Amino acid sequence: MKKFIKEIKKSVDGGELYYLESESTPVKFKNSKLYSIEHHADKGIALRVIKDGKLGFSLTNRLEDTKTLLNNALETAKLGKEVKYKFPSPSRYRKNLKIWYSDVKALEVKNMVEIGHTIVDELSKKAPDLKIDVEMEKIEENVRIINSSGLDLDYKKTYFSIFAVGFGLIENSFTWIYDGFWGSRLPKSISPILKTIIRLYKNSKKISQITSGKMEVIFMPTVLPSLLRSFELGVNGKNIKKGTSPLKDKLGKKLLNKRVSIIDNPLREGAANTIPVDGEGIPTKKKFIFRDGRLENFILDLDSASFLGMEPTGNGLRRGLSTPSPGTTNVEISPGDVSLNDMIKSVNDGLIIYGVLGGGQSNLLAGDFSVNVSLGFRIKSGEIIGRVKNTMVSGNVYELFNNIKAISKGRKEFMGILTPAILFKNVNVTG
Amino acid sequence: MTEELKRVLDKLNVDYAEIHLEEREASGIYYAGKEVETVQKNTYYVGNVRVFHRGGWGLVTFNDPSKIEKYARQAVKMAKLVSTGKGGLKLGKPIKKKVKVKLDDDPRKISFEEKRDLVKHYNDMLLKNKKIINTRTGYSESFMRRWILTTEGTDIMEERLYSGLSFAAYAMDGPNVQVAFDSVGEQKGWNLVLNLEKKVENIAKDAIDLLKAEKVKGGIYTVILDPKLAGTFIHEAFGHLSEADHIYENERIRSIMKIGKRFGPDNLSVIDDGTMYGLRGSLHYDDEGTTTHKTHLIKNGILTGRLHSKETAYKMGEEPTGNARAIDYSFPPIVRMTCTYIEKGNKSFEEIIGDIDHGIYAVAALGGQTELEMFTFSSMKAYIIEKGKIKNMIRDVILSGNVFETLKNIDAIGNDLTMFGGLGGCGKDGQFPLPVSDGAPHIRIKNVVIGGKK
Repeated sequence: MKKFIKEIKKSVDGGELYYLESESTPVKFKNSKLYSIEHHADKGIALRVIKDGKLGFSLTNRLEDTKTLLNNALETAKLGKEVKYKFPSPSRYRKNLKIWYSDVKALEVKNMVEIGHTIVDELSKKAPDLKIDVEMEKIEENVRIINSSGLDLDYKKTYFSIFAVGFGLIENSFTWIYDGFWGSRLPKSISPILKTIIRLYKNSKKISQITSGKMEVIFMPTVLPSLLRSFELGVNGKNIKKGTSPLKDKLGKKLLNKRVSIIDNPLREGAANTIPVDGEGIPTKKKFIFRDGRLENFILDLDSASFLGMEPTGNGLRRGLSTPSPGTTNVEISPGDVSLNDMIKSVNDGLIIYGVLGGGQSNLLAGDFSVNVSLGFRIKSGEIIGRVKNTMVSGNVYELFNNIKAISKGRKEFMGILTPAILFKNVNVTG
Repeated sequence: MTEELKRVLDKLNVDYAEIHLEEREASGIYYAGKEVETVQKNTYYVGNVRVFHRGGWGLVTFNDPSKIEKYARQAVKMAKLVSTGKGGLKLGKPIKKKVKVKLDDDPRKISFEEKRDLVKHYNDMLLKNKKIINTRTGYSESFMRRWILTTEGTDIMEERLYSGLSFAAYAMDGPNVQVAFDSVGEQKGWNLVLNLEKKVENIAKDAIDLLKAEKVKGGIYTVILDPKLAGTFIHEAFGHLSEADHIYENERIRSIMKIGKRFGPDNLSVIDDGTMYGLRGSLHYDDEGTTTHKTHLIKNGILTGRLHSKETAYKMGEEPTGNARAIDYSFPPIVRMTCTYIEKGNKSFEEIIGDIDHGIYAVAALGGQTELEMFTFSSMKAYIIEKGKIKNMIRDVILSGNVFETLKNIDAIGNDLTMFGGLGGCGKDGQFPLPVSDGAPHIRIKNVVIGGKK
């Protein structure tokens, strides 16, 4: 690879090779039965070249055919996007960041099958109305990035995830209850997943009515990620560059309640999306997106940073071998100061939401949301009294995050996003 | 090379096994606003070996076929782990066939520069309008050659060439941002993407008009769906329920999707047909090597069929329909649609709209979601119908309901069936986008719940 970069330096102004080798093993249980085991062994390289100020791109998984790869990249560079940046030179990064765990590597297919059976058996015993789906996956990745500015680095990463869903008719209404684990290592135990699902299942047995109106609503860590989508799009360098983000000229402005801090933390130990460098070889760093309600950082790759005259933030992420694009890594919301129990007790008449469906049909960039509550409970005089059916919540996240009554001390990680529970005032609920 | 693969298959000693190989060359050029966003040309080589033994599947995907024997043994081990001892596949007779792409206007003969110039031409047309603040206009092309070998003795090579163009316009007025888009995409060659000026102009106009359109008032309406939205509706809300894997896995769907049961009026027929010439969803053989079919899902209002793979056909005692498909060979084939449509009726658009006193004409789909028999779709744009005439444009129209009630409420079917391909596709079990086509004539539905803003 090094030789290849040396060679192409003669014909281009800049070149970059991104090599990705991955082995993944998904194991799936469907309807409470083992359904499938797969193994994927992939290798590929992506080449970016800059020639006459224009960017070309090609990828292949025919590793031996670098000639076609180069020709394709050169052909596309003739028509490519004009770029002002150079591929980055080597700089200090967290070489020792732990992202490779031997327990994931050592986990065998039969161990994964056992874990799945345990989840299915335990849940079937305690929640007999539910059928159980479990998806589990282990991934090992080798990444190497070499460019014509002298950068040459590599890392190995492991990843493991479990997602368990119990579904079925409870009191004549179809119910989904889910929980999971996402990390670069194995979970210490699967019992938190089992406990959560069983507790929610027990609570689901009682149905409660809800009337439409504005009320206090607790969004649990399992549903906050769908609200955070709007912020992620708003600070995404691509949308800033295109001028389509409502946050494009709001850096430094206080936009959210001062108790809200949202952080992008690619260095969080053991988390799913922890990486020492991004897909362009830029060192990653922990940064506030919002600090005490104030917009502090955009999420930038090389391209958007150079366009905006700013420094890249180490967020040029690749999906597989594809071209890098700005994206968040491990997102966190800072914890508050009340316990979840006290939070529930403080609600006179409201809702606590554990699961939502939908989203994506509203104008996410503008902050609008409108979601169906797939699992939520009515709170009356500080007590959870029963599950609500056919309920929607809607509003705008920029208003919502200015209407905060309380933030919980405890946090939970869901799909790589670590958040407390948040109690909002004046949320629009349609029953 | 196929001789070597056959030898590997012969030695496996399992109920059934397949080896897939795929070569693909994909290129595309996209503009975002004034600027080229991406240009790329990629080559892929992927394959897999899939083994079925006594009810269990094992799948190993790779891009290094020299290790095929090792991968095959691994897949056998996985299949045996999953095996329940029960279950089987509806196997077929061996097919030996080579299908090559033959097109007079093969887009691979057109230079990249010419493709860029065309994209730029359409993109400039959109940007001419002051209120259009951003665009996304692109051309993409994908040529693939797929090999399927099975332990039945099947040995198929099929080539396919997908190409098309898509364009989207974003209009802005203060905080109000609206989007309109359209695309063409089939297996029909280069001419398909020429002469789209009219469509491009309409999209720019739609995006700008949407800025001024009023939000719909929620309520219950008589609604006309245009062929594009009706096609999306039949694919998303009904088509997926016809996929036999959903049917045998889900008791509730199984209890509803009974062959012979009435699902709609006498003139309603719904078809999935992989054999239609040159459409985006067409193919000769599915990814289990089964010849594709024309399957009547609903005929004259009665449920008559469903879509099968070899496994679902066995489980339900029916025949495979050629609907086992994978987006590429990093994935297993699963039951999918091909070209799904509502058959044309006999009403003209004037007859359909004529006796509507107060209703909504909903055009093209912006997005949608289904959950068993419940669906919600938002249309890209819509118009108020007053006394049989199309009036002002409205937006944020979200249609929702129960698919079975909605099918029964179809009370007029147009004579203007149109099929749509495009460049996107269908998603299922993490496999997206699968090239499919859908279509319909204009249809009129009574008592549709329109959410919209309160």
